[in-house]
Amino acid sequence: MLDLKIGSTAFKVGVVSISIIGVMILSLLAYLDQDEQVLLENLDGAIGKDVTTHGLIVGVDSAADGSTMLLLSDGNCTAEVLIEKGAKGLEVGSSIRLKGEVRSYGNGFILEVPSKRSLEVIEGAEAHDDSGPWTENTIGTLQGMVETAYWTGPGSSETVIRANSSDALKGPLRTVLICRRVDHLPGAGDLVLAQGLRKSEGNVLCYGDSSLKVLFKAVPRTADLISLVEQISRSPTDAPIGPFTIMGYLRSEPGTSRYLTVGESPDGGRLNIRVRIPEGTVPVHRGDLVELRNCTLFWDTDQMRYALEPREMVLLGPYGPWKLDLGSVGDQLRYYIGTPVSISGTICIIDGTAFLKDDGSELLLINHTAEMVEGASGTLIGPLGFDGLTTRLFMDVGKGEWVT
Amino acid sequence: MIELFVLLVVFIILGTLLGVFTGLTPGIHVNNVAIVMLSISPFLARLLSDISGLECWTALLLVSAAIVATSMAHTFLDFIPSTFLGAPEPETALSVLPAHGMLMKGEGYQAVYISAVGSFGAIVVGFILLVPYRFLVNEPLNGYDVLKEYMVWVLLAVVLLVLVSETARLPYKPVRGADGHWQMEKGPLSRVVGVAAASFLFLLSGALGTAVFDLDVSSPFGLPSSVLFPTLSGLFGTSTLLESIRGGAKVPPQRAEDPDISAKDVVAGASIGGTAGSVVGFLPGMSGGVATVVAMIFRKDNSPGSVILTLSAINTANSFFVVAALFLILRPRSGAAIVVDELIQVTEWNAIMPPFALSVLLISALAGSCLGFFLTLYLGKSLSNLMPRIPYGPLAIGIIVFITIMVLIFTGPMGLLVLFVSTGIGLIAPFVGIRRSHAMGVLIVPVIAMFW
Repeated sequence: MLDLKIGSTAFKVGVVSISIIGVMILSLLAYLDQDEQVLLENLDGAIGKDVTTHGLIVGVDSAADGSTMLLLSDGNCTAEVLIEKGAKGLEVGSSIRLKGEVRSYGNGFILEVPSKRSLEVIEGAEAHDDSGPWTENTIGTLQGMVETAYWTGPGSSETVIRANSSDALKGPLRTVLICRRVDHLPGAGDLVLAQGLRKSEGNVLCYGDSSLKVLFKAVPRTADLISLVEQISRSPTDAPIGPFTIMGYLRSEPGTSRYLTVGESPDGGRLNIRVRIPEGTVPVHRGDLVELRNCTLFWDTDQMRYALEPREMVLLGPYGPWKLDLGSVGDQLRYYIGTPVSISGTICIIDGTAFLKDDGSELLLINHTAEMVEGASGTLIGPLGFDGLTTRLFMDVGKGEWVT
Repeated sequence: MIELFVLLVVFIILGTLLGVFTGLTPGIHVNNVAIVMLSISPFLARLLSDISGLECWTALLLVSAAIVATSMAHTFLDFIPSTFLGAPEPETALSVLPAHGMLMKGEGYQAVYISAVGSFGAIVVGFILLVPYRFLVNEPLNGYDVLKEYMVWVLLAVVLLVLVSETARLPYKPVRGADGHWQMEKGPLSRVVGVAAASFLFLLSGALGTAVFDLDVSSPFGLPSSVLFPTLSGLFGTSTLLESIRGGAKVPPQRAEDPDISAKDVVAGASIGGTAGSVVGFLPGMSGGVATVVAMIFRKDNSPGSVILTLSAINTANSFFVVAALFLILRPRSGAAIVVDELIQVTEWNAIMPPFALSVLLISALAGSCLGFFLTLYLGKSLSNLMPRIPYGPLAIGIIVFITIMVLIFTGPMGLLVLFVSTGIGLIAPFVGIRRSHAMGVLIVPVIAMFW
């Protein structure tokens, strides 16, 4: 009869046997329970699934709530990873293997990992060496001076740097840093250190604010427009990048274009340069004296010439009054709102309201004086106004002058 | 600020009381409480934010402080059931024999007293070693970077040391008894058989660890799950309880007098124990149980009091340095530390002054230890004559049922299977007669595989 009391030999053998069999069963279950191994390029077809994948950390972007975003690359494509908690210590350049769930994210997808415990560092960041020749899809650092930087979308920007060829860091002369998940733009002339994935044509893919460090912030200096344009003409490749503060006169009337031309004098002159109009600029007009603050020089690929991009455009002195022909200006009149203009015509009174008429066009007059009677001819000088309710242009005679 | 301090005190007291519960209840570990705390932490954080207007991270820091106080108080109080019920945890397993010897001489309270002094001495040593460790582990000496390079060899050396130091002499020679039945007898190779049995347990536990860490357990109630919970509960909790149910010798009346301990013994025990416990706090997969084995190999004085003092110091120092290691090497080295790491944003201790979160946790560790010390002495004296009379069988069965229900709630049916298998493996050590600490292979083997 088999003795199965606790402590009996049979019981002990039974426990040991069950333990061994149990471990085997658990191993089998763990094997069957393994997540699907998916390459980064195939993650978009695995939305909603738990997967295991691997890649090289291109960039790390930590948020205040403890979550971390990673950009992974496997040489063929990149994918974003959200680690919900505790991803400190992860370094750019480390090769990792991770388990997570693929979720829809915007127009694409994201791999969501609950915590750092779901990922394993296969090879540390110290294993990569960026001192050798430029090799695509490897992590590299690059130091250089910013030529220009601009937003390409929310949290995305491009920064063109002129890599310092005399530096030990061997980069091409001009490199475009394609930056994702960045909150700040460097300024032209800043000395930056970029770290990211080396791409074709000398581009570098950077990810997160920490991927682009400003080592030296350039201080804007006052420059002379004539000297700058002459220097560009003389030696385009050595043109200074900026940042500058420059004064000049508007040589063109701002229209629908994002650009206008700034020259050395309000009504002519030999030297001028195209300027990209910064957002939030007050209405300005041809001939106005403006100050272009913190502006940088960039190569306008559309026009194949240099242009200036100021962070701010300040009106120093309006030019005028502009002598306008009411009949021929037509719709262009609205570009002179707020600017002193000089317009000639004949007074026309309709139901007690005065108008200045010329060649079929008319301009509403308010606060007209007694001497402005029907049929009187003369010239009105004053600022042009705009009534938002009636969407009509007008001139306040009380603020101007009527010359017969 | 005053409000935060008051809340910190409240959470430390709550944590210490939880430590009293986990320490006095055989089979219930700090990790179990920590996992429950992790599960309810979003609710606690919201409650605290609503009541006191605290930010979420401050509330979670308070919960972490409570967990640290629990783990520190636990290391003081877990010696009471080890002594009076003979229900040890892996950390206190080696001290059961000398403690049991003292219990049988009516000196159970004295054993508890010595243990509490050893644990408190380790806290003092811990605070003395803290700043030197900061410079040794991180800048400028960067000792951990060096250790990482050779980690796999360090771990293998410790494992080898622990296995070879297994002193059990097991019977292996089949002989026919007078009654005609075959039975095993000891022989010249009994020691080798003991080491082989220890190695078998270590490797089987390692295989269990390798299997379960790839296993996906989930709570049927959507609670955070950790496969560590059923694994460690089975290896060191339920198996210990099942085994101890079999015991039950008559315990003589106990004397409730404070023992005489020499200052020299306290300093020596706390220093050796504190240092051993602190080193193990930085090694992955290693526990206080492993540190005790290593420390006992090098220890000369094997009187019961000295052994208890040293081993208690190791246990407490290990729990203390696990907290420090989290901020020095950014690696959680215990279940409680894993939970703290999940709860708060841990920043590396690189400056001279510790980070704010570590300072709060150290205050909590010190306060939890002080409260734990006095509570251990008080409860040790109060329970010295009561505890041996507790009907241990029904109590142990009740705790096993409780653990099983908790495992089911937190890890589902798959967790129950893990608990069942790991309980079986946990029973191998007492059945064969070797140390249960070899079952730490469950953590060490996967860690070695990872570093390899």
